[in-house]
Amino acid sequence: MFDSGLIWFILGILFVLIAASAKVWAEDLKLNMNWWKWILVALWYGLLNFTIAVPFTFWGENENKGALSLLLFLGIITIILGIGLFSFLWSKRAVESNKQVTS
Amino acid sequence: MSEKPTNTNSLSRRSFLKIGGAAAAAASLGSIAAVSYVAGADYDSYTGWEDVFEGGAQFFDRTPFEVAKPTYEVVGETRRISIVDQSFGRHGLLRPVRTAWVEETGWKEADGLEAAVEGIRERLPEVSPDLAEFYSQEENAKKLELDLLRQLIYEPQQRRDSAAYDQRFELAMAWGSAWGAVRPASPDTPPEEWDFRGMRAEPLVPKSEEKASQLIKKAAHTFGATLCNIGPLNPDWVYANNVRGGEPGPFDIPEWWQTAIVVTTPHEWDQMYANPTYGTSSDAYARSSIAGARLAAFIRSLGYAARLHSPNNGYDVVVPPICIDSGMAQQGRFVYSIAPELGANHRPAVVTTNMPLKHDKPIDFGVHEFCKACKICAEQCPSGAISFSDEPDTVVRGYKRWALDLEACYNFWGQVLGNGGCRVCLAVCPYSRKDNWLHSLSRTVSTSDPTDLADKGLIWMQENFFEFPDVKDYYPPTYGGTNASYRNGPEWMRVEEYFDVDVTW
Repeated sequence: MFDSGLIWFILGILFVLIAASAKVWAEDLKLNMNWWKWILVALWYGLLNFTIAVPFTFWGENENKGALSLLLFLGIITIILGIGLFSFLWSKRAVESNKQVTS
Repeated sequence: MSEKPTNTNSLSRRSFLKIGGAAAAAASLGSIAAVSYVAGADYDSYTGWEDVFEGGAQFFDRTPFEVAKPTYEVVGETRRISIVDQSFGRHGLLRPVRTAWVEETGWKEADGLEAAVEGIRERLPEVSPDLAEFYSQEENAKKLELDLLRQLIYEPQQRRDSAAYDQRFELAMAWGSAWGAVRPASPDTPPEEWDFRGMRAEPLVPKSEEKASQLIKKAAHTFGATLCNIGPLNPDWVYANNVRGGEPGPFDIPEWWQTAIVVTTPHEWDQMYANPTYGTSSDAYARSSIAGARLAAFIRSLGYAARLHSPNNGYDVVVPPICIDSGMAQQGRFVYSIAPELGANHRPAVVTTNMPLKHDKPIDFGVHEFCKACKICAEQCPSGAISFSDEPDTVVRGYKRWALDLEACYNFWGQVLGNGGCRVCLAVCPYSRKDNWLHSLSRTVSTSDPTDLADKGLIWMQENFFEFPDVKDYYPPTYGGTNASYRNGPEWMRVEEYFDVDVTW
């Protein structure tokens, strides 16, 4: 199944669902998203998928040490960037909220 | 009253979407992991072994990388290579001389190698003037000792080591030798006869050289070639003496050896990765040789002379530089050729012909710059034969390149156990990677990045994140090693899994 076109069809459906869901999450968290913030989020999500895909490809190649090393290496980078991105989006939310309170 | 249920439903839909999205994110990451694992393990990711039989599954567009001249540098007077210049040919000439001398004198290992070197050096001028002249040259002064070290010390020890340790590799050796069961015939008549066997009396005239080249490549793929390139035949790549099927001694290059068609195939992936012990040269040797033999017969049937030069029926030409001239590959640090699709994992054969064909242009896809930064093959070479120099550091018959200590390389073959030969440099070369999304991406980035930063990053990751055996472990225990291979042999080559064999180490 995982080497067929069907999996990409299913993944396409999942990605649409994720995108629709992300919009709702952002609204409920009052993140004040705009186009470039969405691009940053999409890039980070791409990095997250890359971080999963690279080590698992190497595991498939029986390169166990390389897979684990790259999972740690890329995982740490992805987590740091993810926390940084969310903090940034959250801080912007706070600024917007403060502005509303001030006004 | 009527708005309340509507609000509740709206909230419920949002919650459902949020929870569903989170679940979808988890499911997609799991699917990506599974898809990636399959991409790494799938047989279709073995370079050259994809599901398209006739080659071309791993297409690399050479056009952007075409250059006017081959990428090697000529720095002096060039000349054709002699049989004695290369280890195989020299050992072939030396072996009967050595055998006769040992039988005559009753030499034993305890008598010391030095005595044999002196005795055989004295004998050579009368029995093999070519060898005598070669060994008398200043730059070759040590080579007789090194060649005899292999024949008189390493090879007998290798036979003893084999009896003690080779049980583990019985299946791999059986598989390797089976590939040699079918092989094209070696020339036993001079080129003016052999190259014209079964030839059509009147040649079919091609509509154009370009059309003829397209046809030849198409046919080569149907005959089993993974890659096929066509180039000119530089006379410097033709051996200077002992043409197959002819009289020993110098020979003039036949006028119909105008064009060189290179066909190549990769090794079976898992065995290649398990060099030097489980791996073999025989599989790709046989596939390329047979594809080349079919192609030569095809060309003769079209009315043109054709001669195969292959691992299984012998050579009158040196093949790696022809790979470079024909745009199939570039020369790497370890001197052999690196193709964009297969890396170092390929074994070429050549068909020389006078059929009018359009020649492919040489390519430069950045191997030289990559190899300057990457020294993994040199670091992993069990015999230390590969140069660590940043720049090409030797001149061979007028051509500048990285140095390769052929005697050290070949002598290790006389020590290592398993299937014979070494090929660790093929396995560890970063260009020798599978055909999946990850390595295709790496290749694309590496070849299109003019700053070399991508190369340096990829090499850094390769050196720091991946596992490499200790170099001495490639040797048998006699020499302090553990009979290691670069990666474990595939499950189906582990003899202990299938046969009642006592593997004691």
